[in-house]
Amino acid sequence: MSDAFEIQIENVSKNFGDQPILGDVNFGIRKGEFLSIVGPSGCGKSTLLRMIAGLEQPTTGKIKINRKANHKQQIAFVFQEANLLPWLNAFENVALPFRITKQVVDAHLVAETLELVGIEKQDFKKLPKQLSGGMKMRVSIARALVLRPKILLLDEPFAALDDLLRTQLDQELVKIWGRDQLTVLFVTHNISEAIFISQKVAVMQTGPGRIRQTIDIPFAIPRENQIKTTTDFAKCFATVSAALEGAATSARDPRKTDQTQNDGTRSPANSGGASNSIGELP
Amino acid sequence: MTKKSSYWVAFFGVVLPPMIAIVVLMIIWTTVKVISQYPDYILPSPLTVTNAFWENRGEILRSTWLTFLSAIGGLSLSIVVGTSVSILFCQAKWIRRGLFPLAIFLQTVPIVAVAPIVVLWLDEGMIATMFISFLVSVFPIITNTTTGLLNVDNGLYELFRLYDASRFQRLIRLQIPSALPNFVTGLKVASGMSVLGAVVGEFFCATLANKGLGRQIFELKDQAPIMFACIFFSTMLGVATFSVVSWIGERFLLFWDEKKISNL
Repeated sequence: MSDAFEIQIENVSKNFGDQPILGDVNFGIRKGEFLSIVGPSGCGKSTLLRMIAGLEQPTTGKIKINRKANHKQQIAFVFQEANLLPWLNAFENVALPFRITKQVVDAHLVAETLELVGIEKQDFKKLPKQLSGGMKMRVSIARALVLRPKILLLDEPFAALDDLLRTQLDQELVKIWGRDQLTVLFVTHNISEAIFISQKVAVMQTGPGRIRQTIDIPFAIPRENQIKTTTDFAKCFATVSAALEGAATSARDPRKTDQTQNDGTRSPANSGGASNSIGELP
Repeated sequence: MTKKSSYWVAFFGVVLPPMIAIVVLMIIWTTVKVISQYPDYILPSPLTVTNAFWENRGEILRSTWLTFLSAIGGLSLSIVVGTSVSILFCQAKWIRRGLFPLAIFLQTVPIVAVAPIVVLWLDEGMIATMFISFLVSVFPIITNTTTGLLNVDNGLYELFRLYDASRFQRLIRLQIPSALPNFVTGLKVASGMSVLGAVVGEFFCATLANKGLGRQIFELKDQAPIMFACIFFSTMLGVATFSVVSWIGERFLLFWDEKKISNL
């Protein structure tokens, strides 16, 4: 039922000049869902996310948020880089969305959000150049959350961080998602991270980009780091990897693209371990 | 690092090198003088210049002060006009295309050719020297600041797009702070130029009330030792203005700059 989708992507395609990046994407995300998108580089996963955020316009098709076209206030976006204004301290960076949108700065809310992402009071006045990579990213997430959005979009936010820190931030993000009942769309190229963090993993393929398959992740939330060593996790990993490999092969062989598209996403019966329940609109 | 040792680092790293350079220059100068046996009206020795300064110290220091006022006046006008023009330039490509040639005209027109016209219009006096100082120093501020305003980090630009920031919000909260490093670079160049402009301006403005270093140099052609002392003071004035402006710029405007490399 399309009515239940919070983010609804209808027949969306995107070209950069003559180059098709996304071709006819149909896709929906339900309210409160945590979904990751993985895919080979150049498959248009970031472009898709940027279109949902309104940073790019689709060449054809429509993106609806809660069935409305104008939606910017409800959406927050976390970039691959922290993108902090270097002349503002941590607190002022988080207060920035209030100022840009000409609202009165809610200092209490800013402080609360900074603490939520693990920035301590004594670091509020620090400039970005005095913060570590991980802390910058935390401030960046706080800035995204401070206006209390309903939808959080993240474009490979932890790609530059080491594994340990990444896992830690993944877990904290899941906590925030649970607490604030956010709908989260998380783009990553790290399969393990995608499985660890989300309820569903959408695999994209190139040439031009499409959602190839959506895979349910069966683990209960919150998850501990140890689940990464279980057999079930390995099985999930294998399923996503296989889908990704298929995506890469289909990119090399255009004839096969249509085939796998049909097998993998258009028809639920052929999806095997994969679930299309949320992935495709009728 | 202890406080005491950091003072030594400051001494050896900052104070000592220029002192050595000055001493070496004095040695070369004295050597040339001794070997060549040029008379004092062509090349006075450093000692003669020092004596000439001491005998005329009141006059020279007063002239230095007047030149300083002209230069600071010109530089201030350059900052106000230069940044305003830069902000105007970054509003639209057609404005830049239309008006940038005029800005280049300011840079390329020979200032000694324009100075008499300025004096004609503004009369001899400090206002005219300030204006000539402004004409010489405004261009570096315009070019550098415009570059800074236009070269905003793409990620930060997207952040502002994400929140639907207005043009004004973007200018105030993003472009102007982003342009500060370039502005400070322009300001440093302009600070030296403003002294140069003031000295040249004074060549053409000869009121008693406005007898700055430029006028002294112009009038004292046949008294080489005092003239040399005036040249030395105008140079020192340029160095001092540059140093103070650089320090203020980096201390108060660029305290946040990550790209600033301090150990080169």
